[in-house]
Amino acid sequence: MSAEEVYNRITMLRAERGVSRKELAAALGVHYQTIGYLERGEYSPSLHLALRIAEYFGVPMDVVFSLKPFPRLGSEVVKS
Amino acid sequence: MSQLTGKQIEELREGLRPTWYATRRGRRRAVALGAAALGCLWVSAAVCWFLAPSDTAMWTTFTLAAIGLVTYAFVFRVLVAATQGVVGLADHDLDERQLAQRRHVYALAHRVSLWMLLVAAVLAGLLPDRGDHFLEVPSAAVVLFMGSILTSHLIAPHLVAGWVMPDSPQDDD
Repeated sequence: MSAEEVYNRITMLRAERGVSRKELAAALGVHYQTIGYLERGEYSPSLHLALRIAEYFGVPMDVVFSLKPFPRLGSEVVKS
Repeated sequence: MSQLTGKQIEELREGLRPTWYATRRGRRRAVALGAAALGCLWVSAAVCWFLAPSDTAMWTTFTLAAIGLVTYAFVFRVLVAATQGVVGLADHDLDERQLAQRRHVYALAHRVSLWMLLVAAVLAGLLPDRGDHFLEVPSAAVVLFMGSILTSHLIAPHLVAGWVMPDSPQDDD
């Protein structure tokens, strides 16, 4: 992991809510390719954009962004 | 040059073959064309240096300027389409990622401009010393050299942006 890498769950949240990249981009006022860059981890958003993404999905920031990779879905269940 | 709108960029893309703006090879071919267009200005300045004032110098300058202008008009169109506005749009029409990309491109372009100026200074220093006549440069050549330097400084960011722009991932719907 590079020192500045930020992981996110934008792809998952977007899929869960049935929102396309273009719709999310329009809601946030960014270019649609920027959403792709964010989802692939090729661009880390400013604090302002990160807060707006969390606000758009109606979740706390740490649900969307993390400095450590998010656990895979179901991995906690497998452990227990 | 920063007065385009997002809609105009979409129209530009529709009017061009994707092989020009959507592939690295096409973009770099456009950059090479742009560099050649810029080269026309430098060549006409050099021609004026040695031949002005004369009809040959005048017509060479007009012809090369026309070729360079027409060529760069096409190249600019490709670069605007390829960079999705990083070249061409006003700052307030770009998002934070695109602005960061523009800043990166301008930083690289300024480095390229600096090296070009250093090379030009070294070449000027290597010119044969013609004694008292060394500083007797035709005014047309001086104007064209200044114009070439200014134009190079202005369009270097466009060419650098086209050169370094990565391909858009296939899954960017």
